[in-house]
Amino acid sequence: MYAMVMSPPSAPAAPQPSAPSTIDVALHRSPDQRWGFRLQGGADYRTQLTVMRVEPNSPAQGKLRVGDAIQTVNGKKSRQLSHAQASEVIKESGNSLKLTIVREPNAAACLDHIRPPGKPKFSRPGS
Amino acid sequence: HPLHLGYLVQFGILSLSSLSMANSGQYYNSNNGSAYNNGPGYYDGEEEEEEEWNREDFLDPAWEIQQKKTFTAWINSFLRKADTSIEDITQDLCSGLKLMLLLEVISSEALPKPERGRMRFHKINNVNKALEFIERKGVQLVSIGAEEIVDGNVKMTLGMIWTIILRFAIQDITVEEMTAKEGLLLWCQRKTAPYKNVNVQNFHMSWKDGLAFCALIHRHRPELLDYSKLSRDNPLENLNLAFDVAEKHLDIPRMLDPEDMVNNVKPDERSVMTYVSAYYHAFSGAQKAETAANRICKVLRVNQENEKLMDLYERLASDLLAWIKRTRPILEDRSTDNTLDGVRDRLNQFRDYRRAEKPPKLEEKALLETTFNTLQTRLRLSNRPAYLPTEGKLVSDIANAWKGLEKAEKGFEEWMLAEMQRLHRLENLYKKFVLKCGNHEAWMEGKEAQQQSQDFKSCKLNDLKAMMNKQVAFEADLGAHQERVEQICKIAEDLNSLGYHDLDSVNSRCQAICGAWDRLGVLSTTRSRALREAEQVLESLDQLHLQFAKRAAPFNNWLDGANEDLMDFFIVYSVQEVDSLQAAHSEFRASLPAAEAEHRAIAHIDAEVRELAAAHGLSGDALINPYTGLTARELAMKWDEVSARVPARDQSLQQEVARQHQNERLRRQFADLANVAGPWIEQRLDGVSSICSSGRQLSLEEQDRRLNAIQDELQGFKSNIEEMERVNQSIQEAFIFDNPHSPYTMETIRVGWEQLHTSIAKALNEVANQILTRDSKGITNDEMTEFRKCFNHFDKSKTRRLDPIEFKACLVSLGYNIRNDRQGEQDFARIMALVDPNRTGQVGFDAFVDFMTSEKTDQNTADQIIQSFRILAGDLPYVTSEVLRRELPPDQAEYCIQRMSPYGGPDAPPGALDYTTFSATLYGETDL
Repeated sequence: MYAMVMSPPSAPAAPQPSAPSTIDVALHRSPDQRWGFRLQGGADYRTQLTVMRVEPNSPAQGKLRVGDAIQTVNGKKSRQLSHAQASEVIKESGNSLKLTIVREPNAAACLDHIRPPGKPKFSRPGS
Repeated sequence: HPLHLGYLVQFGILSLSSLSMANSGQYYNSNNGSAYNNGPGYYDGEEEEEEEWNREDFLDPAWEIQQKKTFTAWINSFLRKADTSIEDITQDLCSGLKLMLLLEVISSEALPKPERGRMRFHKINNVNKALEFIERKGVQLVSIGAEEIVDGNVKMTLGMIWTIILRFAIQDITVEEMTAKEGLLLWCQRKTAPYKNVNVQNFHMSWKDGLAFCALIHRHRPELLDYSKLSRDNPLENLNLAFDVAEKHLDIPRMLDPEDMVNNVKPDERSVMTYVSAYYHAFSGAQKAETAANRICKVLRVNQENEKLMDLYERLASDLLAWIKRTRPILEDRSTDNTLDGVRDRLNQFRDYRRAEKPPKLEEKALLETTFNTLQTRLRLSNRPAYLPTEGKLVSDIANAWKGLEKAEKGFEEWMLAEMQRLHRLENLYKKFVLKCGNHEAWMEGKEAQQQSQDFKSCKLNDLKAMMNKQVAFEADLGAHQERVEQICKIAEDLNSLGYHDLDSVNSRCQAICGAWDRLGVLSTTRSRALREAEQVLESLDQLHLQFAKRAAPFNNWLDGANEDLMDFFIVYSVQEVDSLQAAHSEFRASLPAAEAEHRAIAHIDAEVRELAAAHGLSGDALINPYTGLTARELAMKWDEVSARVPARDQSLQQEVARQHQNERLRRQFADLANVAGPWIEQRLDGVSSICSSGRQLSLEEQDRRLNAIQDELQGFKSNIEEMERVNQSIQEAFIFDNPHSPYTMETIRVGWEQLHTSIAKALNEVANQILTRDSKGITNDEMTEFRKCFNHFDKSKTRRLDPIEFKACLVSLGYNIRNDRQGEQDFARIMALVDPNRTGQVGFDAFVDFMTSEKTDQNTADQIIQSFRILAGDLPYVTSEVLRRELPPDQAEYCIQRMSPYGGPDAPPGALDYTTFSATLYGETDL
């Protein structure tokens, strides 16, 4: 029954989707180590430079999250950078890398733990 | 060499649960009396076939002979790679040595070292090692004993080999999640479907005439045989042809005997399956390549289509912004040439803009928005980052520019109507000015000369008295005229402050009047003083003349004023105003009898003068009134003029009344149209929103149909709107600025009309996106309906959007575990960020469906494409342009060849291309 699950009047209002936060991230690595994240998008793709995967046990782990949109690389704005240019700058960044990212409130993070198992099941409203 | 066995199972990858062969664990696990224990008939688990097997057990089993041949050939097809072979399947396997070798070749894995002894227990140990290896590969060999194999038990040996064939050659054949046997059958059916005289229903009778084998070969390698020459009447020829070709060109050894196939009532199923599976493996490389090529093409196509949509969006945005940039200054231009015609021209231009120029731009804007939505939906569906338009071309930029345009538009029309009203009043004010000036100038005519006259120096006393009195009368007249001059100045002043377009003529005329007036004042003072000086010398007055003069002058002034009033222009905007003019006129008419009495009295004085003169026989100069220039005749003429103008005034007032009533009719006419159109539009708006959100469960196609129906209705209704525009134009041209009969104005109707257009376009786009989502995710219509019902149930406000509270309730009802604590709040905020990335505070239906059907874990698409290229490349880390041209359609192949960079790895031949980097590039992905 749908009516059963409506929030009671005394319950706090549903949280407003919090605004995306702009975060400065500093990564450090030892020589010959990879940063450990996958970059997707860029000006030549006309999409946001976006972190699409973070490898476990890498410098990026715990600092970057899937879905982070990169705004600056080492203090320089990256909106106009092509994918290859951005990749190159990050690759050639020595042993430390500074990024400014805009993070949706953990948008792309795994939501599996709250999903119901299997395909969604509907009961007919009012039945 | 592992490549030759490439089709064999990669052991680590398959899990036991995927071994759906034989439909159940019955075959592997049953311990008690299943078909397995009774011999080799365990396989199918289909009762009918089991009975057949059992029956054949009792007869001299033709299947046993056939199986021996086939299985021997099959085993040799592997043992030849170890440079050995067997001749008798029971004798040559019983030592266990060749059995172990066979398994090593098939699996490319090493078995434990065999025992070299020739004793029975050595053999049993070796066979057991082989059996243990098989069991380690996930097959339970219940009740196959090493002793029976070593003893050369035919049925048991054949059963064991069949188990090996199933496990290593057939098990990995899966087509659309069917069992291996069904999958192989389905593969045969699909591949032979174009061949009318082939109908594969099983693995025995369907293959007797040999055509099915030929068809399989011809389908994949048409150059190897001429299928059109074959006939089902020549089974032996067909079988021999197929087997020869397969042996020679496909490296598939002969495993079946054509004579057996023809002569046996029913060919042995396992033998045929074993042989056919060899065909499958020979061709499945091509099969996999086809799948891989399809996947690559699909991804390339999606990319190309997305790029097209991005181009479309950019182009539309540029065009629209450029148009707005061009148009706004025109609408913000408030310069005026102060003429009515100039303003009318611009109002007409504005009407053309509203009717012809803006509507197509509105459609372009809708197209732009729908393109954006479609693009973002497509990107979301293919797991790509969100589209980021060029700076300054974001959706919000477009919306802001558009808002600015509409604001300018509204201000422009308001300004123009006010301007028209102002200029119209100005025009009338100018006419009034011209009339008053004309009258005054006529009055002034000769006055200066008269005041400068030296006549009093050579006249008689009486004449002087008369002159003095005349001068007094003149000064009275002058005083009376002072007010009129002031009026003229005031009007001129107003014309100046209102910015009349021809001020030069107004000002020079006004100045001329004022200058003359001032001079006249000075002259009059001078003359009065001169007359008074002469007064002591001269005296004598005629009372009667004096009396006349005193009454005639004010009366004359009244006549002039009345004439002026009667000729006055009026400007009214309502029936009430014209009514008040009529009331004033009636008042004037009521004062006429008193004036007439005055007129008679003055005429009577004049008559008395004449009577007196006549009575005393006087004539000539004595009859001339020395006190005033006014004569009774002149007054009578003016009186007649006034009397004549009264009916004319009556008539013009009545015309004005009629005009106001006509205006009223126009208002009614507009109101009648607007009062129909307004509710009509509101109903359609409600209709659109109810189609998309109603409790009625409509399929997407039905929604699309109904929306299109409304759009058609809209087309039909357009003429009403145009009719209203025409009436509205008449109204504006008649200077009607209000309409109490309708709550709708042309502006509100236009807004509603455009809103209706926009919301239909939006709704159609939403439906189209839902169809896209549904089709691309394989959601059934029923599932879509369930999503729709659930969504609508929580859409309490019927806005076709869920607010966060509604959406949360919806998710919880669907079984989402959103707790009522901090963690739950964070989870929900994350979900909102997914479904409402622009933070509008609302969740649309397509975003809801998208969320409900999104994958649990993100799929790694670039890796899939790399895998697909690896298949095309025959497992090499690079690919050549020849391969690409062979496997992909020409344009896709060229697309890849142009973009792939040379492969830089070791051992690369010239022309090797790097498909790994290319695939990553396709997605814009780099691992850093």
